[in-house]
Amino acid sequence: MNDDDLTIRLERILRNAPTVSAPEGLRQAVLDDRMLGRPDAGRRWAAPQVARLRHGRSSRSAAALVGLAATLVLAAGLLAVATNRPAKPAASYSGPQIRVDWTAIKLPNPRLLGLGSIAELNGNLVAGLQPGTRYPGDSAYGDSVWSYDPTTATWVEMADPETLAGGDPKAQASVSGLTTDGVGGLFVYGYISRLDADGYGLSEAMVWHSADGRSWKPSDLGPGRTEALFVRSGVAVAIGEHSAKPQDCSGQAAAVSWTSTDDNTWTMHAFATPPYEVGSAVEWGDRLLVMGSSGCPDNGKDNRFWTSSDGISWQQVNPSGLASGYYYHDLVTVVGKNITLAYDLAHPEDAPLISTDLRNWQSGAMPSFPNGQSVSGFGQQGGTFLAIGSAGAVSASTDGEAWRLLPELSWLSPYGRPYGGLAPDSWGSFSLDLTGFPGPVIGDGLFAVQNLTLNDGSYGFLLGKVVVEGPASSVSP
Amino acid sequence: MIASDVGERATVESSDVLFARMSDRALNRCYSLAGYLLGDASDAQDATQDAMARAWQARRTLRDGEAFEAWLDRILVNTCMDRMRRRKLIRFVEIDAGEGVPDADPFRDFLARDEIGRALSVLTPEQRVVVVLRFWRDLPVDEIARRLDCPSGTVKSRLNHAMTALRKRMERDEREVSR
Repeated sequence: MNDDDLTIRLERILRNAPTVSAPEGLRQAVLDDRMLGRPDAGRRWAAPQVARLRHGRSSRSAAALVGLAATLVLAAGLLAVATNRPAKPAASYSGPQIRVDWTAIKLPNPRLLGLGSIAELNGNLVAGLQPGTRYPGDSAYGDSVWSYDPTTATWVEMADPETLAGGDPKAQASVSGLTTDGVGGLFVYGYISRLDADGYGLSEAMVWHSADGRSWKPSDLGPGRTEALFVRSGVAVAIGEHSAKPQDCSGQAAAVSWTSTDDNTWTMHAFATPPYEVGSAVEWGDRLLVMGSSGCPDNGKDNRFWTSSDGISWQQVNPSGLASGYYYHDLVTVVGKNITLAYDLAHPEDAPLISTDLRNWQSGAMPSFPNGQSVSGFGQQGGTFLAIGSAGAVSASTDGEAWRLLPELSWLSPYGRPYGGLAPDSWGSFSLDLTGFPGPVIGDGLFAVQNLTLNDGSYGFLLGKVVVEGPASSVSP
Repeated sequence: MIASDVGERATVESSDVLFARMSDRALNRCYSLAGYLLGDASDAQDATQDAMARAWQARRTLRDGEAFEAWLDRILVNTCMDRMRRRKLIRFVEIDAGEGVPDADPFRDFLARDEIGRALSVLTPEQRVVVVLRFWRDLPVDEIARRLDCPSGTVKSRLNHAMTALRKRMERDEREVSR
């Protein structure tokens, strides 16, 4: 047989191979992933809710499900052995009584659907907002920055998408977060993406600064993404990744910091050579703490920490007890407490890990949620860890080990419901898939739960404030 | 076709809603591509779901709607390659064509009907990807290279090696039959 004969046979067979219709279970699972994922959480990997979705596929045979379950049990067993993380019995909550006071805030217009980041500036709430539908005639598409006056309940746009994208119609700005500069101005950080020939976005790490809330000074930090920014003793410290295609998971990203004292010159400090990407960056006591992984977002490995007091020189911490194959995006520290909580949302079945020294990690207890809700995100406020359930329940903990389900189980109903139903687009109403709670949005001591359709039909979010009240009480989880 | 549809509209709209529509319309094609790459419907479902979730997560990096098809293919192919590499060997269940055993797996069933379909099991993941993209997706070498993010010469080389491997396998099978 020569190559021509082989080619003819391949063409005859494979070109006639039919396009097979996807099973309805798969179609539903893909839709559910969109609904239950974290659509507005930047580059975070929104892992499918494996147990629920895959078991729900109608096309799977019972034998396959049994096999899958056995595999999961085996994998869980191996993981427990490999990581020495025995399951911890749920502890009784014995902290103070806690409640969350919620304020419903409408988004400025129905085109804006996502709350990406929040901060407080001069008594107003400032927010990085993310668009939903792009309309014909829109000149730019991307994130924008807005200011909300709580006394008048009005929004003012501080920076539109075109401004953030530098006027380039082929660029799209993404805001990772906001932070005040300490003297009445605001830093916005994130990245600009432009499409390359392969359909992947080339990314430029960006910091935008405004002293007056109207005019903006952009700083292009080079290829990569800015994931966090802190202002410490007059020095702005940005943290992110240096790579042209950080989302490509190509092993080219290096975790870096950039520092500036004048907002004109930024100096890059690489503290982890490729392939490390930044999972989380938080303040940890009087130091900065960065968690990085050498794996892809859905398959983290070699998780490490770096701390720094100045954002320039970094000390590496090699932890024990963190599992390979996990990517601990959610790193939460509570100000005033030497407790750090780490969690990988791709593994909703696992309890968060806790540590007081970053070196030794052990499994905490799962937050308690009703009706089988899984964790959709962690946050902290007022010295308290908070966990948000996939259907909106809130659980609180003072130590990361014992969790108390807050009594306001019906907290959502006075304000609205999760996104869903119909959203306007240029072709008429269309079912909007951005349902579910994408986890808490945290910043500058603020705490919000987003993706709500408020009772008047507008889109919005709930701004939460943790209130510690009353004496300590003992509550079983 | 998706590409032409996108071409008309992408200049005015690249929203999440449009993205969801395009993804939904591409689902059968993606599922089938995964099926012929992996040779197993169950694996294809998992890979397709993973790739779709990954694409949804990365949707904001896609600005040019005309690149959607290649972009999504690339994500799917990478997902399938990961799976194939993890299991080292493509898990093909070879069915004796003479028995004509019906199989509920449409991909396994189709490929098992012909000796060349069964012979695909000897290919490495890299070789199998280029063969399926070349002959099932009917893509030219340059388009395959674009999806795999590698030079065209690499695609040609993999195709050549794949053809050699397939020919050897089929010649071996013919010898065994003639004994």
